Amino acid sequence: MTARKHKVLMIEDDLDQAQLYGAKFRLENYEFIFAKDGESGCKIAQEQKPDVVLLDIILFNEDGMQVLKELRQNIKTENIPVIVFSNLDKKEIIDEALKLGAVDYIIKSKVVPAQIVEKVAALSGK
Amino acid sequence: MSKTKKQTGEKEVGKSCYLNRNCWLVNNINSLPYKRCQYCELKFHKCLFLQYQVISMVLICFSFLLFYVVDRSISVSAIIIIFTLVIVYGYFFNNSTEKIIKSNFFEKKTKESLKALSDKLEDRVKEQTRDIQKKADRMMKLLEMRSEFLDIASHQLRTPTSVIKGTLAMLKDGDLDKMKPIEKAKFIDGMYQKSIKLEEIINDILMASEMDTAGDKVMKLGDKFDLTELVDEIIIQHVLDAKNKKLKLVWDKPDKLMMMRGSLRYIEEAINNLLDNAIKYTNKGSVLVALTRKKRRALLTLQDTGIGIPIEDQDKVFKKFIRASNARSAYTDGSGLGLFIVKEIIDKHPGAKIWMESVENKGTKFCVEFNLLAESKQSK
Repeated sequence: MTARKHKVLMIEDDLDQAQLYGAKFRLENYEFIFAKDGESGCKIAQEQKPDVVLLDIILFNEDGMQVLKELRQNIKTENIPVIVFSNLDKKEIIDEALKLGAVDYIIKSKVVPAQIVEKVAALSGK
Repeated sequence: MSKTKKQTGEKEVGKSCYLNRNCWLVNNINSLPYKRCQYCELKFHKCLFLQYQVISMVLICFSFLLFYVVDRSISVSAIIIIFTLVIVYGYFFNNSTEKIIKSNFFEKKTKESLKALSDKLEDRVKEQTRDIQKKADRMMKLLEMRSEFLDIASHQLRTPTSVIKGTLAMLKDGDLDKMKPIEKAKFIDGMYQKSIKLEEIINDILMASEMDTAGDKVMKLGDKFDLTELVDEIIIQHVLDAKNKKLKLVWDKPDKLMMMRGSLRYIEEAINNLLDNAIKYTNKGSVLVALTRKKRRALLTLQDTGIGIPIEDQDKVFKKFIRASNARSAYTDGSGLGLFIVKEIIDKHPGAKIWMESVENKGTKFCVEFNLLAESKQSK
């Protein structure tokens, strides 16, 4: 019996970021799912139950915080660990995200894909 | 009668003569009996002239009555004596009050001068307090704007940086080598595109700073160029961008020369920025660019069918660090400096002006007017 592939959902409006992290996660044998907006991200999270969600804050026509709230409030997604993954380095936003239930807040430019994979591995128990 | 109401009396404080222009004497016989009027001012509502008149009348009547009782008739000499008495009484009445009038008048005048000075000082203090408050508010606003700018700028600089850094890290770790060559090339190209974006953002920040500090000095307005040709070149540079977004880019090109004088580099930057925005913020439909000439003026219009600018943001879009609320969510890569730079460039060209009309979710039209040179009349 083959081990289940861990699923990572990335909610991100920047295609280049998604492409980069998608490639890295796939190389590390993860199932990578990408949603370009919060609405489809929440839907996918409910349907596919990813092990970890990587969520951007500035999304097309949406506020990532709102998406985080929705993920936390929905019974199907409330236990999925959400890492806020943004380039917005503002204390109030970081505090708010953690208060809303994000497991971590990571500044994209301060890490490389390998570090995110490590973080996701620790959270998903891979 | 001298009616001395503070509110109505026209007073000349600090002058040699302190006049109450409500005084009966001043108004009716055009005389300037300043002592009496000063007295009126002091006593408030008690006019010395009236008192003098009343007392004189009483004195005359009493004297006539006395003479009549004593002599049973009034002779001419009695009349002369009575009037002489009245005049002498008037003289002493006047002199006896002079000292009091003078001292009280000056005291009052000093008080009034002090009051006026105090009021003036109070007004100045209030005015300066308002001024300081205004400056403090402005400073707070600038600090907020600076903080917002730093947030935007750092976010925008980090976005391409994180992709470049991430791709390089994967290249370093050998991850890219595990990919198909075509996929690897795509990553390298993505990194290259992000480096261009990074450069654009840095340029925007530098140019905005340049506009702020030495825009007049760095912008040489002596270049003579054909506006039609310049717009034509800019359009060509954007054809591919419009095509990639499946937008119709229409260029209503005039067949006449539009020679103008200005800074070619900066005008190109401004028009380029406007067209870039039009394409960036239009998801479907078209971008129409037109250039028309009216006498010695050229009108360039860029009309798109994009997201538009919300009415509450329309008067702020040309300000620094400001991005329309819908632009922030529609396109995350903007620096919030583009339209500020455009307006600064246009405003620094004599006779040129820029304005816009926009309806949210319908589109935006930017209009720019330039002064043309005489040789613009020639046909191309």
